[in-house]
Amino acid sequence: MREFFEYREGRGFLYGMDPLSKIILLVLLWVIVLYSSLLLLLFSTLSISLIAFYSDLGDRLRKQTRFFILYMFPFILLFQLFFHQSFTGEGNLSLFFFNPSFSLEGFVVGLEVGLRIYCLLSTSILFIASTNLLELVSRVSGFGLLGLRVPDSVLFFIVFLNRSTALIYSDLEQIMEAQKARGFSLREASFRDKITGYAALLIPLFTISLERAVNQAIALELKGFGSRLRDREYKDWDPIFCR
Amino acid sequence: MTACVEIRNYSFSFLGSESRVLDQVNLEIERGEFISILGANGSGKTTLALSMAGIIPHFLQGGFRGEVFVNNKNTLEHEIHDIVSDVGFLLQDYGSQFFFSTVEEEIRFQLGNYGLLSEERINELSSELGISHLLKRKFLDLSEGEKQKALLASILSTDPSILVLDEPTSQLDALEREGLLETLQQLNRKGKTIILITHDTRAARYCSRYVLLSDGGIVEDSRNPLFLEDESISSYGVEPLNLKWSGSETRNAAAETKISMEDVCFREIIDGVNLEIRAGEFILLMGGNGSGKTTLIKHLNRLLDPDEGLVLMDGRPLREHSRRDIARNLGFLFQNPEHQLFRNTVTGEVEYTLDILDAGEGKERVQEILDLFDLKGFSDRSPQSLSTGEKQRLALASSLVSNPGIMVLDEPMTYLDFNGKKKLIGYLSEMKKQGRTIVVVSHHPRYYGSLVDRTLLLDNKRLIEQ
Repeated sequence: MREFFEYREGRGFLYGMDPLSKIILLVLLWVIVLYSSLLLLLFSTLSISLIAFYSDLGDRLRKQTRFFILYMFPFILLFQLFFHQSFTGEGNLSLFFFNPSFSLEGFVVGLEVGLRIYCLLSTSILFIASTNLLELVSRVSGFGLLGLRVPDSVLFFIVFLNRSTALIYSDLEQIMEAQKARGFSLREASFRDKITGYAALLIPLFTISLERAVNQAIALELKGFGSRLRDREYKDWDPIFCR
Repeated sequence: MTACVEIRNYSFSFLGSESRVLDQVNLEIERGEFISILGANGSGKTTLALSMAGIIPHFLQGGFRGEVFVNNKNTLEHEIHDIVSDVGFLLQDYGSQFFFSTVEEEIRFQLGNYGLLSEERINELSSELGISHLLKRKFLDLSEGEKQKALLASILSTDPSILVLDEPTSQLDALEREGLLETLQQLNRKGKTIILITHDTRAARYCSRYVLLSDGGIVEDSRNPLFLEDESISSYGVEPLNLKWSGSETRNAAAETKISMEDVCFREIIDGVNLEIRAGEFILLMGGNGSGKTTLIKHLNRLLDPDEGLVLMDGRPLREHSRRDIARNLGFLFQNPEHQLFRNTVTGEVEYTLDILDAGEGKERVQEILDLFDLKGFSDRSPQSLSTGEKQRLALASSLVSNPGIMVLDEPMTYLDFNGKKKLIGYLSEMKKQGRTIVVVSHHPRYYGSLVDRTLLLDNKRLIEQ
């Protein structure tokens, strides 16, 4: 799951695109996906797949598609298939009275809704996979998106948050491994043990995060980060993000 | 030569603590020196180093007495940024020091902080340190040695005249360690003052001056290389160079197979590994940084499942054993003890294993094992408040309390000083005498010498018997 939300180095069509153009393309695709006819929707799905394969992201799209088909699509389809009338306003609010009724129209709508959600997810995941956060924020900063110039410290905070999230996740994985090695598995535990298991995760996670925060603050001082902020008013360009 | 660091009658205690971490330290470091500051864990080495960069007293505050001058700047009177522009610092936890995903971004960040960003400087620096091929690579994909070299490049980008490195070799294999030290030697020849904080005398032999710190004070200051071989330094918790390690020479007769791996493959890391671990054996698993040693041992208790092949415990596939069964039979000590301590008290930590394994009847063993690992005095303390060596001992005690027949230890020496290492070797000798099967992953075969029954080398995804 985690890899769906991670940037991955690569080459290809999407990687070559400017991050701002990518945002524009993304919004355009979302509009098409949300408001188009079924035929255009199918064409969009095909286009997204082609973009993914030409961007060296075919394997990620395949994994994401498998996840969608296994865990999301059946629910969307079944929901529309049996509770379609709840949404059309033609029938009773059958959802609340659990009075499902099968309809072919519901099946078609289920396919359509599923496809729209799939396209929205795919485009978002492809965007995340192919866009370096640092490049994105630098572009947003340089362009002055919508007339707003994002302060330097805010950009750094975003980058820092991104990195810290990855580190905390990695710590969590290691702590869970250590628990497994001691014989505790969240998957195999009873509900009560799960609660205590989660509590036990928090102690080392909190301590490690706190220690790392102090070390990172020291590291920032050692890198002269404060001096950069102090000098900012004397610079009319950004030395870090400007390439 | 003139002094670039001058420390006069310097004492320091951390905020909220009465005891002095450094006590009446006097030290002068000449420009262009390559000096090592040696000492056991807790002797005050890192505190002294942080004082030279102005982190103390500006960032970490406390009782500060005396004077510290860096390039004639009094650290009390100058802002931290004025001081760090002269001092490049590699932290012991160097993972905290990179904020961006690639090496190039990190160097840009450092240069940008000082308004010095230029493509020429990046190119010049990367060719000087031989890291041009690393510039576009992600930090997380680099070996430990490459990470340190990349961070060194980032630190050197602003051309500080003094370099302080805190335990830079502790996580490196022999090859990477020598590589890093040679790089430091070259930098020193080019005029950089290098201050190496370490408890490793093999790293210190590259230096031309040795300062020994104990309980916050300087006990020796020598320029004689033979000083590192002097056995008297062991009383200060520093391992003398060329020391012969001895351990139990008991050879346990090869008995039944406890664990076996058959044609195990995992991603691109290990390929077709076959291994039999017999009862009572002591196996040393070696290999360079990033060779897949940790990945391999994680298959022994199903922290990882092989993509191909089979792992058997007592003749049955590991998949058929429950997590508890596996933990009852096999104790596992991770490299970093921080990740494996979960409870509020030391006693609670040891009892936790028994609670998980439903081994309530073994609770009388808790005090026994705390005693064995010299932890009885800490029984009500929080595990997080212990020193690294004590944490390591507690993690080991917590694994052993359920009396597993097999013990797997991943780089257990990484965070230990000489005394900690001696203690660990003592415990391992005892465990071996009791007939336990022991698998140790390490870069340092010399510690285990006579204990080892078999040495295995993981190289190029394959396991080779030595």
